[in-house]
Amino acid sequence: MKKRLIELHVNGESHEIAVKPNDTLLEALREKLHLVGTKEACSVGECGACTVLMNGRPVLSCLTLALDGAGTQITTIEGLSEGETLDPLQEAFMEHGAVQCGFCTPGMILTAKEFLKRADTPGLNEIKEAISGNFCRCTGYTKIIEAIQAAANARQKA
Amino acid sequence: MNNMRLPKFSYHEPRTTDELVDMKGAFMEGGAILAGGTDIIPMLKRRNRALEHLINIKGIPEFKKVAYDDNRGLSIGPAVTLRDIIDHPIVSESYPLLAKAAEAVGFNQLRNMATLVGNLCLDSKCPYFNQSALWWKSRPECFKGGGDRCYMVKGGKGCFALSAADTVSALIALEAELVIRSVRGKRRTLVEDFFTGDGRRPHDLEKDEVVAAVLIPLSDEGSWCQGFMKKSTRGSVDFAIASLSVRLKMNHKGVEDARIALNGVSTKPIRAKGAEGCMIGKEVNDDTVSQAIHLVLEETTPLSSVGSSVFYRKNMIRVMFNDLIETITRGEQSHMKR
Repeated sequence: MKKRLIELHVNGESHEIAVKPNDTLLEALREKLHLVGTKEACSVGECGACTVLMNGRPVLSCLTLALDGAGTQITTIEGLSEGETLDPLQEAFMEHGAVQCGFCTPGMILTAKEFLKRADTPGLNEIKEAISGNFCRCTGYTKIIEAIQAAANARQKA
Repeated sequence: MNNMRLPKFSYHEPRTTDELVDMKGAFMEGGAILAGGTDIIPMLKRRNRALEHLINIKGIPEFKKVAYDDNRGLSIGPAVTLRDIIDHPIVSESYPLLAKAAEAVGFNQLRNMATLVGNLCLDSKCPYFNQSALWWKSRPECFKGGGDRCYMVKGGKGCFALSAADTVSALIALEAELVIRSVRGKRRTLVEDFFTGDGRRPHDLEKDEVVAAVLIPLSDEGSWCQGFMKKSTRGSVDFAIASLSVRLKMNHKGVEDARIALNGVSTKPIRAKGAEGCMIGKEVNDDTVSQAIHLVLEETTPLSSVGSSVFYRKNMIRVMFNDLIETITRGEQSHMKR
């Protein structure tokens, strides 16, 4: 299969990479750009571990062709902090013990990040619905929901 | 061994509908369409399906359009995502049933990627067929994989994979049509007639044909109330045990016209015409509803699947129908995922 050169805009930086048509965006991010914060778990679009933001919306990078990523703005977990300063949502996950093995965390945080942009004062059920595509096999979700709620509340106060 | 990589294929990006139609006509069943990718990519990764050509249709400008016309209604292109449908002001105002059904599909990330036409063209789903290549290595192939047996219905003489898409019942209740293109020309078919009931080839789509648009007509004058309900094993992400769409046109005497459609219970969706007929001309009361439920169940042949026996499915349809009629005749649109 012939490789093609594409321009991938990730976390505000532009990268020129060569990809095959059957490379997924996930493979391009992890293997070409070494942004290994984005995780691969189920590989078939059921678990949400590979979630990235594409033009601001959460999508599954394991089901997206790298070629389809060209010309879009992609945000991965590496793009959320500013230097050493973490995103408030990342801080909330740490404070509330919402991270155990950590494998679902990047996808979970990116999904929650976009959700909080849409929801001003989210209720419990709204949060649950929002993260229903992100599986966590450690925490039982309670701490994760608390962290997202806390991040929303903190923003209200600010 | 990493068998979760995509297999090799030759990749195509047509820029016009004519170019696409020519490609599909040349590749036939060896060519598959890529839009949202949420159905075809997992099937390719699991090696459920072999292909030589993948045709990405997202580069065709008119395929991304939702067009509304006061005379003809709504036209939706095959690259329009479920998210676009949910957020579209005309859909939420004039076709709330469709917005609710689109919202019931999968989860947020999937709805941001998956398309409405892709949901209609969703391959039939089976807890056996949709296993990995590794799983299949240890068993004889089923009908859908080219073999001679069905694991869903033991001793079954055909493939009983389920028709699972959530938006189908809504589109049937809205009397939507499909525009289908091929090198041989253009035809239109009602969504209601688009399903074959054969799990191996669930859609009435020839090897050289592609769906070019969904058309949803305007509903006639009068006050239609409408609702959608989905029930699945888990509260969150799952294919339906049943999904139900109901539209009722009400006047001062009761029901003037009705559309009732179901999906997810069998190998094809069902439009419950008997139940529709039984409700027309009657007041909505317990008697009418229980007669209608009786007819809905007579018109459906629910299959047993992982997590839902025939008995459970039938009872859930009964409960869902009761709840949905009650909710919509109270003047609310309903959307319940649990």
